[in-house]
Amino acid sequence: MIAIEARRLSKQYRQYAKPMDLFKEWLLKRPFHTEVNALAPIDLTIEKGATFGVIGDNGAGKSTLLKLLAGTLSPSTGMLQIEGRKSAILELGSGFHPEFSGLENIHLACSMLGLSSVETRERTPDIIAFSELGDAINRPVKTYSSGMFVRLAFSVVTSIEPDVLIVDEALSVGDALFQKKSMDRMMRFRDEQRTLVFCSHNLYQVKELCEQAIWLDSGVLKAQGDSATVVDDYQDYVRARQSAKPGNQRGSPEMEAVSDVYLQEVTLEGGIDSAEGVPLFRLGDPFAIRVRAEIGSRPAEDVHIGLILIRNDGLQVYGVSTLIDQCNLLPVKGTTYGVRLVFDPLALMSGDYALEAWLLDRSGLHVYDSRPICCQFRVRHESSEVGLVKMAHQWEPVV
Amino acid sequence: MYHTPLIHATGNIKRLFKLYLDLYRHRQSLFLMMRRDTLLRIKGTLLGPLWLLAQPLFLLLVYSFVFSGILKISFRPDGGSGDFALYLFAALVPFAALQDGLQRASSSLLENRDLLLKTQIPAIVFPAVASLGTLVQEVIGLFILILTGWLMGYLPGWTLLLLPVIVGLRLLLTFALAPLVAIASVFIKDVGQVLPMLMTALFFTTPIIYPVEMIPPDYRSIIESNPITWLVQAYRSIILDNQWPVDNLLVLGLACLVLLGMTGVLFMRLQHRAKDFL
Repeated sequence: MIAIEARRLSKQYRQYAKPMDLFKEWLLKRPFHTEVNALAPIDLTIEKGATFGVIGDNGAGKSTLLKLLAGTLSPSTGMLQIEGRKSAILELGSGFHPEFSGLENIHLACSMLGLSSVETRERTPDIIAFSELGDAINRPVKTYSSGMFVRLAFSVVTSIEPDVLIVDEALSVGDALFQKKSMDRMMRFRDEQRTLVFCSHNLYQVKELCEQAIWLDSGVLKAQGDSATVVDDYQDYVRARQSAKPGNQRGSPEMEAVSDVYLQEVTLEGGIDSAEGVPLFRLGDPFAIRVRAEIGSRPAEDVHIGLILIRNDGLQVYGVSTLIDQCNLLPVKGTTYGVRLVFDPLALMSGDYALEAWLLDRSGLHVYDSRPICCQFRVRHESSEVGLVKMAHQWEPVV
Repeated sequence: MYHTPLIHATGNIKRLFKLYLDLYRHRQSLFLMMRRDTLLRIKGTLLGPLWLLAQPLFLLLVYSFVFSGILKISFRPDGGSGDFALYLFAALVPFAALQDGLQRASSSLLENRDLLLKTQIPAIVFPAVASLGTLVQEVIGLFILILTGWLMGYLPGWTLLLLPVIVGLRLLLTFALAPLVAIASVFIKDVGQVLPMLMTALFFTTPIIYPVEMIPPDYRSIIESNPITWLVQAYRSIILDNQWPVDNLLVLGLACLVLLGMTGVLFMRLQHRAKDFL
């Protein structure tokens, strides 16, 4: 069964320089506005009981989409159908009357969500209890802190037991305990086969809570699918953008061009070909780097290979060299020497990575040759673990 | 490219019906907000509910002194200041309610921006709260009027049974104009400035502080064709004169209904666009 269906749903705002332009447009039947495209036409089908995440940068159209779904904005084009009772918590301060007390706002919000006065009365004690507002419930909400505000808002929208719950980046203001409580409640909704649309900058929450997700970029749908994949793709994109910024590039050591000592080959072994043309590895796969170098007239002891694993935001994950580990390059053919660096199993978590290869002398100060960024590859992991690398660990009883 | 929304009108009448059906569905929110608005104005004050009438009561004192005491205007041949005050009050109460309703309607969408943008409540609720909320102050005012009139010898007659109809008509007129001023003030900020001036002009061109008989014949037909004149005269005749009001009221009622439909269509067509302007 389908809970939310949107076809070609879009929102464009018209911006008028001054109010008179509106009348000029109306009278002259000529446009006098600039159109702001908040959301390009989007098709969505969300099954009943699905948990659906929305991610993207600020101003990407996430809130616009959620407002359209919640019905507080009317779409410029397209059609939208939602089955069952919906309730939404949009931004901070969602629809409270500042002069009303918390209790009066509960009554008002319940009546706006379509509850009868009897139903409202029945649910009020639960709502107050969940919000943990205590006596503050009788104070006007204009005196509330942002945390109190969101606690009340969340309590109200979830207490009416909606079939479709829409939550926009709102929970971040609550304290940790309340965040946990509200997460638990949303998890329960998910288990009860209610539909959840969730937008957050906390990507971990999205990955954890949602099965599917979409990624919006400047009002355009950039990716859609399984939430773990979409979140990983988005994170790669964010990191790539960060590392592309000037000032983040690290200066490379002095390099001397020595014609007869150079790197011949730096390649990865294994990996699956992914759509983007970079090999894809999974956490735990065997992983090896093969390096070959021409050492020319140098003695083998005076040529060393250094390799650094770099994430695409410029972070050095791990770097090591034959010099540090006190091992030598082995002859392959003639003056060509080579070595393999093996990581088995691969401990890297989801992300886009690359290698930096250095050909050094025995002091480690002189650089014969280098490859700044090479052998780009991608890692994916399926579990909900977070971080950069999988660390060896075990859980033990508390003594 | 000049774009038109894909969602098209399925006929104004049908959508107009939906607009008022939405209002009916949200009657509980409407009631809560009306009650809250009323309570906010009197909460913690010494005079309490009398503050709802503070302005008309104050004007009543000033106008009675100036127009009856100094200018010696009288509504009845043998009437004193007390009678003047009663006749004035009978017209002042409905006019103040109308004025107050429109004034509040003009700021209703702007003031409730948060609720409007962040909840599913239909926009028509806000001008409705502003206009229908005036019923409270009008009822209190009329109660004072009838009671005082009784004490002064104006015994209420059978015509008083018509009072709910007249009050309903006044409410209908306010409610018919409220969506217009509400939506207009979103697009044209000047409305908030112009409206008080218009209301002042209307106040003085309606026979509120003077009887119709005082109007020179040249202007009389103009002032008598003003629907607000019909309305305030009706209040006086059924409360104080025990006479059935003029037949014009049926015309006024029908005109209000047509006006209600027209402002409703306007509101319905512009309400979504208005959200972009808030």
